[in-house]
Amino acid sequence: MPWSRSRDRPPCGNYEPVEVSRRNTKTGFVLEHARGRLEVHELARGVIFQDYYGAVDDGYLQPVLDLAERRLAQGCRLTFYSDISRVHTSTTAYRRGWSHWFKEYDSEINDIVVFAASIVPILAVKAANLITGGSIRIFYDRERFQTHIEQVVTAAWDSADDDSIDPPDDSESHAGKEFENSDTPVAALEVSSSTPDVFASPLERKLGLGALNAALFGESFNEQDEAGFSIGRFTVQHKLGTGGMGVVYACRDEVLDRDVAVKLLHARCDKTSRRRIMREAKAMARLSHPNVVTVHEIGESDGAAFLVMELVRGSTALSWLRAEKRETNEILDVFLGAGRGLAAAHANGLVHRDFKPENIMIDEDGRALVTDFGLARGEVADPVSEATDPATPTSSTETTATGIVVGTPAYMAPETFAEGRTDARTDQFSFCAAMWEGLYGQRPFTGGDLAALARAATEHSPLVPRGSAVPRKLREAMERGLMPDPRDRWASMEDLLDSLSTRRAWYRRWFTRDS
Amino acid sequence: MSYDEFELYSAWRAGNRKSGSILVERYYDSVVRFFRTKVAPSAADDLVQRTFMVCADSETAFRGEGKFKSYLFGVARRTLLSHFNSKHRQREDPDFGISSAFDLAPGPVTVAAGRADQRWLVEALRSIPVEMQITLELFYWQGLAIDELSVALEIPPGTVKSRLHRGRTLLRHAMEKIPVPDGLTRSVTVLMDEWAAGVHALVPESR
Repeated sequence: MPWSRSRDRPPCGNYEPVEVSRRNTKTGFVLEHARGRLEVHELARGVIFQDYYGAVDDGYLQPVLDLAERRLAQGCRLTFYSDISRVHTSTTAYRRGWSHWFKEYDSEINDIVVFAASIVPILAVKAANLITGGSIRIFYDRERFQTHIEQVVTAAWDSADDDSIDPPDDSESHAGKEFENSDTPVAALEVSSSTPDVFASPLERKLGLGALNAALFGESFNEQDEAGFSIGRFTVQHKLGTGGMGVVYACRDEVLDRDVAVKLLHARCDKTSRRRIMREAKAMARLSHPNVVTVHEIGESDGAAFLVMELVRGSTALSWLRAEKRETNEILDVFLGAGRGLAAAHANGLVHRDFKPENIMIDEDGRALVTDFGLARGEVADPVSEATDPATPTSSTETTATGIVVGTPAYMAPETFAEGRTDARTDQFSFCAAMWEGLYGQRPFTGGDLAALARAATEHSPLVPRGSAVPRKLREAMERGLMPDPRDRWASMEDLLDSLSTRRAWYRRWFTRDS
Repeated sequence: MSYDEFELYSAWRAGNRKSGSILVERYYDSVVRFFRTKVAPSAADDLVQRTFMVCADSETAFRGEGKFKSYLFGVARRTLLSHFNSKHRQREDPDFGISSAFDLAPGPVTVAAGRADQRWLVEALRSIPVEMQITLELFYWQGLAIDELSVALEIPPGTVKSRLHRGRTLLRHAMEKIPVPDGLTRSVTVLMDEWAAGVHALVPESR
């Protein structure tokens, strides 16, 4: 029977109306027209739509829309099969037709299986954008596509035989209830393949679980496994903490008979990133400075990269600041120390990229040491060691593969937000933001989301809390480091530190108990 | 299998470490994933630990009704929300039906360190209200059914369904909003292949 244009829906496409006939089948119905057909198979827990050669007009889709609406209300899953090999000349029309349909149902299609001959890239991207909860599968080979459909339909018929079929006009409550009580949501079975990986390596998981068992059951690593846990040749003693790039374990280096900190990196250890990490680590290992955590070596164990570092007994500046109220002087000393470490790194052509209180260690003598150079992104950017003048913005404009700038937004410079650029001057910005937070107890810029934060850092002056006791000169020095245009900042960390030290000396003379 | 897990759980509560560590091992990955898609790695580690600790010690213990998994993720959810609440103690309590994990805990997460498509999905998930994110993840990744979700989320089954529906809409909009990076064409192709390789039969389970 012919179908009229839709009642009150947005048009699904501007096609010429075509005679469409409907025929009921054992599991549903088939709509046929001169240019193709649409088969619908209804099952208790889902609906399969099989589309050949595209929609012809919106009226044609009406019964499908009605059915989809009804079944979605029951919590059913929808699967959509499409042969789009013959529609490559009218891609736009086709896309318009179906995407309206998808949009109307908020992408409730759980799976899309497509046979496509020549227009895969466009439609694949479109489809990937449209479906969110389910999966998409594209066949390039018609035979395999048809075999697959046959299997699916046969299975559908089989299940219809053992009366799991839910006739179109059956009571809705029944089907809904059945879905609700089913042990496994069908959708979950398929989508599991796109479940994100949690661990970069089996070793990361093993050690994480070991640390958890240690915390829950009070069993040390040694007690859990007599063979012991190890990262390369280093015997794991206990977990020290978790940072942005990985978990740090206190380890024993039996060969050199010393305690070290070993950071097992989250970053997946593929060839490219390994080469980069190696390169950066080499540069770090060359850098020896009292305010930089020394990197002894870098290694790889069971597919996981790790850094072996000097074991600093103490805490991070973040927990140090939170532990109790600190004197302005003490805070200034910590940041001057960390700043010297940062300046030394810049002098060696290294950029930190994620300077923040969490990345400053304070040892038992109160000395500040900067850690986690360059690796903050999980994948290390191009070698900055090639930049001759670290103060000059380098061409390192790498962002993650998803195009999302990864860093710690609260300390990120405007140009890092905008272009993903990191260099000595963005480090200077982060340094000032961290120091600002240390001195004022609040961050210089705030925003509800990334965009607002970026806007604040670009358009506003840093927030100064009322009644704060931070000297004006000190504030001005930090404000200069927080300028949105890198050219307006201090020429280098050295210059900033000079200015801060001068004020430090002056401040010590006049205002503190040291005077 | 819930009876088996209830036995393990009871033994754990009674002080049997072995039983405890079997359950911990079984759910470790899922619980880590639950937190790593929402907060920074350092916070995630603490919250994983706190979740299992609450399971072992809490007064609101699992009594064997329904599945242990529902109970466990109920605890994980409450642990996460109280973490967000405590982070925002200076301000008024956040509304988890509105605020996203990204709003509440900006900064990078490391769950999908390896794959661009996973990062993309996780970024989008983090930008929708956190209750929606939890619902979608538990449904799709942990395979909780509607009635199990209803237990874990402490809402009626009807609300679970409408939340799933609304969550998917928001997620799709979120994915459209995330800038399409240069690598996408390649990533999407890879993504298709990987999905295709991992996708099983697409029919609803025949019994």
